[in-house]
This record gives sequence, structure tokens and C-alpha cells, in this order.
Amino acid sequence: MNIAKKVVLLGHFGVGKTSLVRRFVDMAFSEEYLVTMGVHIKKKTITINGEDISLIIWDIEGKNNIEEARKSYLLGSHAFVYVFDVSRPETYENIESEIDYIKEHFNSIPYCIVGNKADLFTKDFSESFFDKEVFKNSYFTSAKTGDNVETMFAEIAQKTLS
Amino acid sequence: MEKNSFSNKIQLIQINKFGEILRTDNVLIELKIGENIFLLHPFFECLKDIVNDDFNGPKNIAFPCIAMEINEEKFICDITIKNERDLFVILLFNFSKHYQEVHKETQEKNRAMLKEQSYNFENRMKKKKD
Ligand SMILES: Nc1nc2c(ncn2[C@@H]2O[C@H](COP(=O)(O)OP(=O)(O)OP(=O)(O)O)[C@@H](O)[C@H]2O)c(=O)[nH]1
Ligand SMILES: [Mg+2]
Repeated sequence: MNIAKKVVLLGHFGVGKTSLVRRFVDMAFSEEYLVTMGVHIKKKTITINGEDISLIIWDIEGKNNIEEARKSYLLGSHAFVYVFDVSRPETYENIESEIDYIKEHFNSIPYCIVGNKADLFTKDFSESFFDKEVFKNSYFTSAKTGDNVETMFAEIAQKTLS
Repeated sequence: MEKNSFSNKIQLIQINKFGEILRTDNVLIELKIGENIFLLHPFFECLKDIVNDDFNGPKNIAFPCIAMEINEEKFICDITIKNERDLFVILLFNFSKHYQEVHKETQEKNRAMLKEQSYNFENRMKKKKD
């Protein structure tokens, strides 16, 4: 039996949604920023506990508020990945209200928060900077180096099964 | 949006709830009767849930600005799904040209903003170091 799960990537523009998908699906990365228009949909099958699961990943255009996202894109979603850019406060300033929106409108749908561009962390600026409650259990990924990308997708896939 | 030659930009496809193509005018994409649309592209695979008997969402759903590559051809379409009793009509509106124009503008704007915000980050990091 083939299980397919729709996963939607959310977040501001330029945080690395497309780059995360490219890293995960094509094992590639580009420094070049190519804005996503509307949505690009990619698929990758992974195995979890001996079971094949196809992730149908909706890589949507960046929006500062989920409310601005086209409603039909979110329809029938099995999971959400909310991505922010660790180097740009603009992309996580409103994260609490964004997460509240998901909880309120998609009550039973699993989600995770991802701080991307973690390769930009330094000695003085690291994960510990993100110590607010909302960041608890966040993933810190780098689409550039590939760090944590597979783990994040595998764990969100796992969540869609339970 | 361009109005001329509008009709040769719209493809009409009729499917049943199993995804089998019952009718198609092949204006944009060459499809065969009896072929399964769920296998064509992951976008259509997601329709499985919508054409399912258990689906209790709206009868007509519009998906704007869907980027697709099919048979090595790239499109950006608005896609509408209409539920007509046990059958479903899929309308593909090819708005590639229009969206490519919008893309240019957004690209310029976002790239500039990203550059500025990245510059601010580098400055903050420098200050921390000093
Ligand atoms: N250093 C670094 N740069 C990254 C990383 N991920 C993405 N980028 C860069 O950030 C820019 C934006 O990446 P995208 O993946 O296009 O961002 P997006 O979220 O898809 O943007 P929109 O489609 O406009 O919403 C590009 O120049 C990427 O090269 C990362 O992990 N580290
Ligand atoms: Mg993108």
C-alpha cells in the first residue's frame, strides 16, 4: 500500500523553503535566489518503520502571514513545516501568532518549526539565542550544508502517521 | 490578463473519482482517455483526497498559480476542480505569460529586501565581535 502525505512549507520569503526541498529531494543547493511563484510541488518517497511513505511537498511562495496564503494550497494538508531564517528577525518576529493561526485553523494537523540557514551560526550567535517558549522543539537546519534536513522531514513524516 | 486566444489556453478534463480520464480536449497537455491523472503530476495526486467520497469541502475549488512540468514542458496554470455528481471536471488555465511578468517584479523586490536584511545581519555579527 502506498501512503501519500501532503506537507506544506510555510514562512516568509527567502527563508529557504525551496532550498530545503531541493536539498531533500535533489540533494543540491544553489546560492542563487529564485523567488517561488504560487506553488511548486515535489514528491519524495521515504521509508519509515519499514513502510514506504510518499511525501508530496508543497513549496509555496513566501508570505509574511499565513492568512495571506492562498487557502486552497493548505486544503487537505497532513503536516505543516513553518520555516524562518535564523539570520533575519523579520522572519520570526510574528512567529507566535503564526503558530497560533495553525493551531486554531488546523487543530489536529501536526506541524514543526524550522530555523534555517543554521550554517550562519557563530560562536556568539547560536541556537541558544532562540530560547523563547515558541522555539522549543524547533529544528535548526541548513539547506546549504544539508544539516538536519533529512531528520526534519523524516520526523514530520513520522508525525503524520500517528 | 490577455484576453485574445483565450480558448486555446484552457484545457478541459473530465475524470471519475478513481482519477481515470473520461474526456480531454488536449489543448495544453496530451492525455489519453483511460489514463490515470493521479499519476501525471503530484499536484493531481493530491486530488485523490478531494474526489474521495469522504471529502466534505467545497464543490468547486480554485488553485491559482500552480507551476508544473509535464512532458518536459513548463506551465503556470490556474486550476479549477468542479464536482458534478460522481464526475469531476478539471479546468487548466494556462497563465504562464502573465505569471512570468509578475515573477520578474517580485524577484527584483524580494532580492533587494533579502540583500538588505542579510547586510543588517552581517553588521550585527561584526558589532558582536568587536
Ligand atoms: N547560508 C544559507 N543560505 C541559504 C540556506 N537556504 C537557503 N539559502 C539562500 O537563501 C536564499 C533564498 O532561498 P529560497 O530557498 O529561494 O527561499 P524561499 O523561502 O523558497 O523564498 P520564496 O520562494 O521567495 O518564499 C537563496 O539565495 C538561498 O541560496 C541555508 O541553509 N544557508
Ligand atoms: Mg521558494
